[in-house]
Amino acid sequence: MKRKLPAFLEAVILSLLCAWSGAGCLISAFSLRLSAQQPVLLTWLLWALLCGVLLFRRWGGALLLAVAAAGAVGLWYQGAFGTQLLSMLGTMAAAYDGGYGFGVPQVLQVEKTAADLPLLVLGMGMIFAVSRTVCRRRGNVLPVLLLLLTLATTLVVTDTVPDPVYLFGLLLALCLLLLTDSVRRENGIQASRLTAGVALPVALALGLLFYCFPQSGYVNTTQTLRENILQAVLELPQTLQGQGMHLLSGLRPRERVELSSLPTQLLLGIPVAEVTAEQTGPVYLRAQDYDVYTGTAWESSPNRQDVLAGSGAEKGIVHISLGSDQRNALLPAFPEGQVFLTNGGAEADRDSRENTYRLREFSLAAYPGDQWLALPEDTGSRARALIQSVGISTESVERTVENVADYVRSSAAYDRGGTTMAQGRQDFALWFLEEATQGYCVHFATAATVLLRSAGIPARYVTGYRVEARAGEPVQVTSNDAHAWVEYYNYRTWGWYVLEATPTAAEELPAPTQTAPTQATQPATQLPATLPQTAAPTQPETQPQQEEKTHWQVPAWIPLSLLAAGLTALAAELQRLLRLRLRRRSQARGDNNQRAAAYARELTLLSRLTGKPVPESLQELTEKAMFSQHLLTAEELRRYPACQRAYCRCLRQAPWWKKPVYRYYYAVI
Amino acid sequence: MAARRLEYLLLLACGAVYYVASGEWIAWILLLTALGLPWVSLLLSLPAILGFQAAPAGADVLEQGEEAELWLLGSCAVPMPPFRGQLRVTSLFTGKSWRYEQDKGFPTGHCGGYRVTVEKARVCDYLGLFSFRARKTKEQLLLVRPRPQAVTNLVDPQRMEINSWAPKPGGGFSENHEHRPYRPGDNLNQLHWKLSAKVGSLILREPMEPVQGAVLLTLSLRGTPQTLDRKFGRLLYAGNYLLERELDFEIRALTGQGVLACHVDSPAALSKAVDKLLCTPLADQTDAWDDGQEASWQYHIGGDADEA
Amino acid sequence: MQTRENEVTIVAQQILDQVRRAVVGKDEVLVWVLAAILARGHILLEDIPGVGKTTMALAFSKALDLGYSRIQFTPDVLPSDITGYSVPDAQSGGLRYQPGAVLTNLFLADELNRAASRTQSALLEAMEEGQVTVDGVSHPIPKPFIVIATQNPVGAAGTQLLPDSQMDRFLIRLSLGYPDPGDEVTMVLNRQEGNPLLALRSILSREELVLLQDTVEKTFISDAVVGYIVRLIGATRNDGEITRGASPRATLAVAAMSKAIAQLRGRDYVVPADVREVFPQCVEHRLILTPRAATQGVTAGQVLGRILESVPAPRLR
Repeated sequence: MKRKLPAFLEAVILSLLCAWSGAGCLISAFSLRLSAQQPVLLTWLLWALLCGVLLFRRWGGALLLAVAAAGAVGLWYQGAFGTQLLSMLGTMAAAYDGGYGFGVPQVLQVEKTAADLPLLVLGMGMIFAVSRTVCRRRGNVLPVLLLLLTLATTLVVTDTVPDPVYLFGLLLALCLLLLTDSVRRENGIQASRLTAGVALPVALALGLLFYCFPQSGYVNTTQTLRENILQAVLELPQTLQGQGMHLLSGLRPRERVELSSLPTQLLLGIPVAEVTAEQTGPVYLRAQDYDVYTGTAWESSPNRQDVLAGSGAEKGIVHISLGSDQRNALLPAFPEGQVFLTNGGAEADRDSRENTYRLREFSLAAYPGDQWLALPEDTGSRARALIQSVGISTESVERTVENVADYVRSSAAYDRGGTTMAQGRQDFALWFLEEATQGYCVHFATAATVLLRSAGIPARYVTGYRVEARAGEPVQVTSNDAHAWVEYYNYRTWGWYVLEATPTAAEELPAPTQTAPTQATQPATQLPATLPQTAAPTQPETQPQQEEKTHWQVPAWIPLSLLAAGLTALAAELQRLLRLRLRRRSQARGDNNQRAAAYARELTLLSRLTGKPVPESLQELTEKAMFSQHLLTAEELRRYPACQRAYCRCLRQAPWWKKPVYRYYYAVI
Repeated sequence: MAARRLEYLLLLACGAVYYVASGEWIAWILLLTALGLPWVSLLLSLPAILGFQAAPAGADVLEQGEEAELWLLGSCAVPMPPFRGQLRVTSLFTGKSWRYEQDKGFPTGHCGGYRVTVEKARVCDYLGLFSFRARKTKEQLLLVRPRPQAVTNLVDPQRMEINSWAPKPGGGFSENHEHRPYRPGDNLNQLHWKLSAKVGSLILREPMEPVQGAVLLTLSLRGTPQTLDRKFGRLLYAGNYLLERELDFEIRALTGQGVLACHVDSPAALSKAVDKLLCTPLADQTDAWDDGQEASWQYHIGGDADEA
Repeated sequence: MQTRENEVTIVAQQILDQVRRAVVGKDEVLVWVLAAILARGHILLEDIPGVGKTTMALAFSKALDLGYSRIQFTPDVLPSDITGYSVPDAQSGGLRYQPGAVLTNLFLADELNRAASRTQSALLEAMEEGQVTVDGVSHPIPKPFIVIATQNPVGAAGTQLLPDSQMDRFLIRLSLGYPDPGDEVTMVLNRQEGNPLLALRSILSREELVLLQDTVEKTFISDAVVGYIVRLIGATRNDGEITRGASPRATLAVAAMSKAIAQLRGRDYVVPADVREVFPQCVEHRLILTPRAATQGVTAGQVLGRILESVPAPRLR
């Protein structure tokens, strides 16, 4: 017994550490209540001592399990265990529900009570597992799995974080178990010495870690990187489906926008550029405009006429500096008055990062040509019919534009969610106006462009960014500001104007003040009743600006699948242990002939698995054990385990993918 | 070890995935723990790795035909980390070496000397993730001793020719006597009075005893393993035969290192000589040697099966 | 396939060495004959004339120091030739018993199938009872007593094969057959030095043979193996191609032969492999196949082989 003293101490101390830290993690994470601490700790201590003493004997395990079973039966009849367990599970479910919102099951909605007994049982289970590993020198799969499962339950939702002290204890126990596993398999005493030797350094290392990164002062500095990675991973299914470009957070202008299936707009806040303007007000930064509408996509043809030079009065300077990985130049446009800026050429330098634009009023643009009126035939006729039926006036450009804008804004609710065009529809804009109930700027802008074109007003669909500029101050442009709008040509004022068709952004848009004389800017009061008033958007916007904390929800299938995997591993290991135990027991029981028969059964299985036949001498021995009147001597019996060991050595050389089959399916290794 | 590394990478991947998914403090701590675990283990295993010694273990001396096994034994002052290695056996007769495989056992069908060395010994850290070459290794000499094989045509040493006689110390009776002139100090009892009277000077009659000439066992160390078995077996038998008759003899062997001569006067010396012969390389087929005729009793040990 | 040495195997090897000097080749048959002798059974040799049946019987009798007698059966052999008869004694005035041919240790009955039925039944009765009764007086047949009966395989003119009820009384049916050419050459050359039978010496005395037979009888046979034998015999009774299967006498015969073979292989317990070895030889001559099987050319040996494969031997669960 004196030789086993170090192992005994190690077993008791390590198992108590595991139990204490595991239970402590659960208590601090889910704010469970412990009505009486001392009895629980005392019971654990006694149980650890008992396990430590008894597990050195062969029958100790069985005895302990019998005691545990008796205790379980007693607890069950006591009744308090059931309610406490349900209350604890209910608390955990409530915490998960807060994160994922799938509701607490009815059976777990009990009043909160103390969680003594379940934690006691959990602790005793951990103590048994750890003591068994240490005293019997077995593998450490069982205690490691238990500790990891306990830790995993606290990791599912982000608000359940255990106390650093308990976390430290748990990590310490885990590290000790992992480090000493390989030595323990060979020699128990050396394992105890090793545990004693490495406990302090590992504790110091962990303590240093906890000291350097305290919980209170933790600041997440890798937000951007993580969001990039997560976005790339989450987008993967969509890109695999051939989704095409993600329009608004794309950082490069696309030559084609696919409308039939639009993705969800993600607010990732990736910085794009910095704008410094001399005026205050909304600035539209044009990235790309599209002229060809195919019914399900916008395309930008290379031969479109892009006249962007301004020749009117100067209005100041806008400085745009692009982010490091931007490639395209953004041409600013102020909606107030038609101001387009350029450096003096039609095409700005597309590769430079710093672009300064001179603010100049844009006037006297020639008629742009019929390409900005082009629509597919079917679309055109249907859209004209729609305009007729809704009652959009065609008197003047301004009125038409206003009616169209009002009608489009009120035709659906603003929602960032992705949409898929219904089967069999050929036209996206008409589908959106007639059938869809929600959309974002892409939908509204497309619909407005189509309607304007069908009403005879040249219009184009433009994508870019929209920010609020402040005079003289640099303003950050991020991917959240990506936007799509409409530009239409007013032939009476000879200029292109911006039309904002999206419900939310329209509130900040000042009324389009054109420089041309005599504007009829009455509000649309004499419109037929079919055109609703400029209604407030039906869904109040919690505008996702930069200050919202992006709170990531981990998809529910990840922790569930990990839990399932952990439980499966646990079950497989347990069944393997049970089968090995049963087999060894049958080989150690009875007289030598019965034991030989049990060994021979295992050897036939092993010979079938390895393909090597059982040696002749052993076959004759087996026949002697089965059919003769002699009893096998101990020496003859010893040849069976020797042969079995030789077979197991051979099986261990098998390739790595066969070993789990041998280990868990046949339970031979 | 690959399995361990995979498990560790899996753990690290889980930690990284969890950290990317939720950038909380606990995720960061867990990721750092997972990242730092191998380094801590490496640091803690350093004394074990540096102090590790691998040596072959198993019997030193074996009888021919005995079942034998060798295995690799690791020794370390601190708790021993996982290690692996291979044993290489070199036959000292032929110089061929092969890798020892555990389940085949050690072949003791033929006698010979073998040197067992450790190769590719690698010791891992306690977690089993990194492996280093184990610097300190030992080698072991293993001898498979031959079994004596009967030789029936040994000439009885009593009947060997006696080439020279020497005076018998202490006088006494002998079959052969020599007569020589008296020298002062000789025993007066040995005077041959009759002859002295005839010759006129004092003549001594001295008993002589035969001087045992060299007793030689010769063999040439070459041939197939069966031949060598027979040669060594007969050498043992003949050596014991001579030792029973209390004769000191010399073993002369033609080996790869030339002619090796060992003097044997006791069973311990015989086994020492046999052991030494087991460790010498075989002679080339073309070597021939001149047996030397100076021995008074000589037996050349041949390896043919039908000799004895 | 000598696996182990015990006293039985050593003695058997010596006996066989002696017999081989007279009978060249045919080692298998000699082993079976020796096993049948040890099992206290009687042997039926079904063979063409001139292959050495008499020589073999003589060789065994010399090697085992057994008294030997032989009768060549013809249709007119009387039962009294076998059992003996009483003659009036001139001196004492009573009847003196003249011993018959069967009162010996090794009795060779040549061409038993040519004998009259009364004679056959007299012999078979003597085999069964172990004694002959003449004029109310029983004379015991000496122990050990072995009968080697022979018959030609296809009935020669005017003869029929033995009826099945009598075939059942023989433990085993063997056939010597022609020797191999090499063996034939050796046989001729052996005769150069005179009759090899004269050079045989006896290994055992009769008492020792009886002791050996007792040892064989006491060989341990476990319940599992007995059950296996019973299952095999039972399978012959239920088979579709066999009209009448083996009788309980066959079970005893198989058990006895298995014991003898086990002892000859050096074991003192019977294993199922022994049973599988003796089963065809012991049971083949006791079966009657259905006419359909006979017309299809199926032999009893094939049927027995099929039965052996289908009935599972006792093995580890």
